[in-house]
Amino acid sequence: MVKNPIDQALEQLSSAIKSQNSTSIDITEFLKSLPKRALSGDHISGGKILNFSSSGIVDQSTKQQILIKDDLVKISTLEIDTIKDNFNVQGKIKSESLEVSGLLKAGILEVDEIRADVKLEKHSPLEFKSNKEESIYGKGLLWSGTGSTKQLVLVANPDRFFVSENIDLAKDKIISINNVIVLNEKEIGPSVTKSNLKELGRLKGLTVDGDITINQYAFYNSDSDRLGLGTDEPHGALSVAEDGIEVIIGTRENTRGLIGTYASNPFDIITDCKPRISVAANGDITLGNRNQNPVQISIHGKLSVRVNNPDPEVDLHVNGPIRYHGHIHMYNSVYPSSGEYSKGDIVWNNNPNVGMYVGWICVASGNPGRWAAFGPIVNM
Amino acid sequence: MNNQDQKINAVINALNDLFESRSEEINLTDIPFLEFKSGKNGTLVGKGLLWSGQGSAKQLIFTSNPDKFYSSEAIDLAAGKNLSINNVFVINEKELGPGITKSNLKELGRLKGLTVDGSVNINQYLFYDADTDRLGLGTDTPNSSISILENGVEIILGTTEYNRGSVGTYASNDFDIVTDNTPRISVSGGGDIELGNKNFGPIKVTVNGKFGINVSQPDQRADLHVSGAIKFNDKIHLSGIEPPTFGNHVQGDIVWNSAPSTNSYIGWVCVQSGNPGQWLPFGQIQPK
Repeated sequence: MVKNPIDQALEQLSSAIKSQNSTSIDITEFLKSLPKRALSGDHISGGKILNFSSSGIVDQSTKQQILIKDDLVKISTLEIDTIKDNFNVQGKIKSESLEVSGLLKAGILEVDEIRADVKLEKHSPLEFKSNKEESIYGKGLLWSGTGSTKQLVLVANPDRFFVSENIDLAKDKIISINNVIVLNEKEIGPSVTKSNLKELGRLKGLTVDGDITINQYAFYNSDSDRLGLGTDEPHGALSVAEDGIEVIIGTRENTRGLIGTYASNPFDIITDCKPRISVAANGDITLGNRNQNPVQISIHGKLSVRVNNPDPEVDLHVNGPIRYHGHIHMYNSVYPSSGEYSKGDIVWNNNPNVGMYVGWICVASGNPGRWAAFGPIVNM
Repeated sequence: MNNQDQKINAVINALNDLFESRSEEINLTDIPFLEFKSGKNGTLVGKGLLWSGQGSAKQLIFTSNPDKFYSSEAIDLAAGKNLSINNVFVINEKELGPGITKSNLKELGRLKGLTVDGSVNINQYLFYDADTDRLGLGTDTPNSSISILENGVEIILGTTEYNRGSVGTYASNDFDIVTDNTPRISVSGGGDIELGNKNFGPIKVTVNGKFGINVSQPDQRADLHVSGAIKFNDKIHLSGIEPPTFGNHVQGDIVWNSAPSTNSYIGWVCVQSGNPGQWLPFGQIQPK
């Protein structure tokens, strides 16, 4: 068996020591005698190797930089070009910048500023969570840097999202509450029934359930079903109050229609804006108008004056005397004995008989005036 | 996906965790969009913004059926801001946009004015029909420009024959002209006219003009022109060529001779009541 050079050297060293016993050994000369790369690492333990280098390691340190233990390697400052494969870090990584070409997962990521196209691919929403120190109010989205800050944040009292800017929905999009439409581009949702609108457009139609007041002039009362113009207390189905006079149009006794004044005011029926039939407050009636040309009044029927049962055989039935051409015509059994009478007044004999006169005529005015009989009744 | 996108996505995928943990606001500089992308399940539903940890979670998220953003909270716009659709103003703090023309509003404030093109229905009582231009109170089928139907009686106020105004009842109901809330002139459904009121004191009727009774062409010389007989003080005055031969008459009734001639009589007078009663001539006409 051929012995290697080191064994041979050690054998020689041993025999030399044995043969020379206490003779000193020149170590330098001895090491020079060792062939290069003949010493095994097994021959080294402890001590410090200076200016250490190998094909992969150059130690230029002047003090300790690396501490290696069984469970860790401790390096005060490390410069690495590439770390291959996965590695775990327990504790913090502090870096002036960090570039990750692939996925970065973090339990918690704290940043002051992010520059990125934000694309959230997670299934859950972007969540603002409160903790012991922080409220969720005031949190949300801010757009800043140009003009005033634009906000979409949660605020309280009451809870609401505050939006600092106009909101513009896309065409045909709507605003709904609980999935019920409340507003779109052209209409208010049908469930929105209450408002305080004071101006409306030109309505296509109008349906109202309830009272109506127009300019404190027209009042419709839904309880009484009466319409008042100029009055909120109409006394007829339709009342028109003007200048303190109330004109009513309505019905009475379930059978009659009526028109006229409610209070003691006269009432006119007019044509051509001129009174033609005037009814005084006390009921007096004037047909025609003193201030206008005389009118023609025609009665196509019978006319009775103060007669309860008009005679159907006559056209004019007057209960009492009549007067025409300034002269009274009356009936009596004798001519008058008192009262003012004028010449031409006639008293018709209501008890005529043969040999009597059909009446008496006033031939001189006076009280009672002078009277003469006329029209002797003759026997046939 | 390019390298930069991968980097960005890597960062952004952690953004959710970031918001969960951060208590301060975060500055997103130069970010064009905050984009919620559908993931493996291919849906955007449920994605959006969430505020949690205090009371019920506040949400502003995307939901579907139909597609919409769901907000769990009221939305409060800043003063002077508005809501628009397709850049058309629809509502602000004080007004609805002019493009909003349809509603089902049942309550309005005190209107400054009101203009209606079309029909009007107020409380199922007042009906204006835009087709007929008629206004009905108590009726939706007015028979004149203004009709008032009350207690089954329809009063009409309008025009007839293109040249007459008219007021009265449409059906066979009586009609009163009143003053002091008292009937003064009453027209029955059949046309009878009553001046004055039996239930009140006698009134005065004054005629300023000519009065004709059953006369087609009233004599303008007379103020009162009666076609037929007249009766006053309960005595009839007739006109005829002879005294009556039938009919009840009372003493004092007179028949004026409608064909008087010299030596004939001006008339006949009933000297005894009866049918026809006893009649005698009076007032012989003398030759001149």
